[in-house]
Amino acid sequence: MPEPIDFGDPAELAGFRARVRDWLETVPRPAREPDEPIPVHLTRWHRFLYDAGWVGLDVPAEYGGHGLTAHHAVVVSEELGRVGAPGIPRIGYLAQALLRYGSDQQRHDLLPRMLSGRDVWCQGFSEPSAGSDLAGLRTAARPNGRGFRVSGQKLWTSYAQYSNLCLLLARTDEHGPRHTSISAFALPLDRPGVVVRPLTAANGHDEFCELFLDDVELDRDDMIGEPGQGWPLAMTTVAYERNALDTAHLSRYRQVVTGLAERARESAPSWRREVGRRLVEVETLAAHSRRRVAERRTVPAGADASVDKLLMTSTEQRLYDTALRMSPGQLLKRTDADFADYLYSRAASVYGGTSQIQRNIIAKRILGLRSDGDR
Amino acid sequence: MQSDQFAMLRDATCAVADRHTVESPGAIDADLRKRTAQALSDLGLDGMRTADEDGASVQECVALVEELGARLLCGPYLGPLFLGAEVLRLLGAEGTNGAGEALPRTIALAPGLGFGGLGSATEGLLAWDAGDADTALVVAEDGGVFEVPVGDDVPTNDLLRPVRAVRVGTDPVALGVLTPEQLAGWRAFGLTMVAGEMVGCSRRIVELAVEYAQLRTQYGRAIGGFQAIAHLLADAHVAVESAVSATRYAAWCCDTGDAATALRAARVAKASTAQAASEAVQSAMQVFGGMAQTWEHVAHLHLRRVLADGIALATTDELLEELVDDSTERDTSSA
Repeated sequence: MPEPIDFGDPAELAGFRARVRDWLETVPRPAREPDEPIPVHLTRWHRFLYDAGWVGLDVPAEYGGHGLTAHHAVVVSEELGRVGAPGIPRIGYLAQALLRYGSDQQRHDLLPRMLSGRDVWCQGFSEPSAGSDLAGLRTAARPNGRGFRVSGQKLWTSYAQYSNLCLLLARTDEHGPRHTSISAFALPLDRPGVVVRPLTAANGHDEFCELFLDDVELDRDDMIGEPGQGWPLAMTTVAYERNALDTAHLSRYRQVVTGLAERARESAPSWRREVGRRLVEVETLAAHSRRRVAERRTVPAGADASVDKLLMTSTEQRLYDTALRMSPGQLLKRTDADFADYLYSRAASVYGGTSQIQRNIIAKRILGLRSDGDR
Repeated sequence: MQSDQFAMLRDATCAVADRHTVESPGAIDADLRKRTAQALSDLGLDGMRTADEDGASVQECVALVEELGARLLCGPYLGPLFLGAEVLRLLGAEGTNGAGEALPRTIALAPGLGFGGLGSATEGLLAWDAGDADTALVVAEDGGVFEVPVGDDVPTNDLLRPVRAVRVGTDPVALGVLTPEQLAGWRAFGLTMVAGEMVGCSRRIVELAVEYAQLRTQYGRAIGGFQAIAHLLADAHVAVESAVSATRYAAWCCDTGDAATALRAARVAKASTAQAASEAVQSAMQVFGGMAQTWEHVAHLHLRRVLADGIALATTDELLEELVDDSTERDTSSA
């Protein structure tokens, strides 16, 4: 049964939004240095935002946060997007994993450093032979008395070369059932036996990495949650990773579509209609994202995050496809930044779970359609 | 409206709609149309937009329209109970003219079923969702509101919603003028309601297709277990959910924002929903296989409805061009 949705800020947030806006108007923001790698710049930006008090808003104060709500973080994200600044640090989903599964000691030790940007985390989930079928991962953490000895290989660990910690999934019981024999660890990347190798992506950027683990020693205290809790922890993480609360991508789409619309006004009607469609898609995604913000006040992220991911993916891919066809000259300039964005949009239907996996999740968990292979 | 009060109204609306749902195209006849019209009219939905706290918000209106759109009803409601009633509310008319005669409630549209359309003549105007009404309201491009007499049926491909020709040869009677803000606000309201009807109509057929996919077996298993079917329905679900978001947001803007913001959000919602709803209905039809290709099955009623709604008030192409022409960067975060 449809219930009215409150798309607005709760009353107590009006003052907060005004404070963020005022801060953005009065405080000069750090610019990216020439040749500064983007992740390095983003870490600097993260620490700058933290010092100003805008990071970890929905994390309890005892763990270095501000004890406010996720909606406060959305407000900061929207206001940053409005002025074209880099977005909020993408640590919300890691913080959720630690808050839900970490020991009290780990929450006290790890969360404040994560929020302040002193620790930079990457995510060691996928493997060469475990992509969509993540539960088939083979990296093994074998008990060795006081902890574990880990061997295996991880893939698509974004920005591992700029990180010092990795949220690692490894199998702690090689003979146990697939989903309940996986555990999660906080792996310090300076441990002996860890080798990080950046991969160059199709667009020329080196975001993705391979991670090689050769008899790396981990303490029992490095495990997050209980043995066998790695799978639910990972599912929590990806649901929050897929969710619509991070509005940085929306701000980027709005900038692009606004630029296209300016040009379309001078162009043939067919271009005006095509750009109009892109504009409708971007604004629909924005409305959808605001609806999720309202829903998250009472319902945690779940399978419906797959709806958000598919919507984001189709919006982004169609947008950059239109942008490329409106400016075919992108193809004639090897280092064109717009063309790099176009190529990156092609990754949207793969990273964070492929579009096919998202459709499986929706069919199974939302629509209740079962296939013979399901348990 | 108070939430318990709204829940009662919604339950009553659903109960009436359930009792009058068209189960098969063959069931549509003059008698069912008449009974449906009367039952819907008796709900008093045309009087619910009062200015006090008992009045319905636009978001509540669109929630009701979603429910009505989910059932296939062959009596009028969008025209008389929502769009027409909203015009009269904005004009401040009490439901009767100076002579005490009941005022017309439905609306007449331009020849292509678009907004506006009263130049110098009433030729070609179409009374939309008119039921048995004798007259209809025309809202002209400049906000002028007129009463015109309604004539014969003009059969269209939405089998549920009769459209009738406006009779020529009689001068329109001027009833009043909407201010530019009122005109924009009314158009936003209308676009949002039609979008809401498409949301309900498409959501229902997708739900039916999901149920069917769980029951229908081929190759010894339920067809919903095949990814080819499951992914089709997952995409249909995403389409419907995106339409819900765009439409509810437009309704919220009508309730809280200025008329220009509301009109822009409503254009987005109508264009977005027209696309999403037709994709979703087509996917659902595919899941039903040959069944949905028969006259007896309701699938084509859903398809006809969303296609006809897609052009009602404004075509998608018109909306897209208006949005591009009007797309100066705006502050879309809330006030």
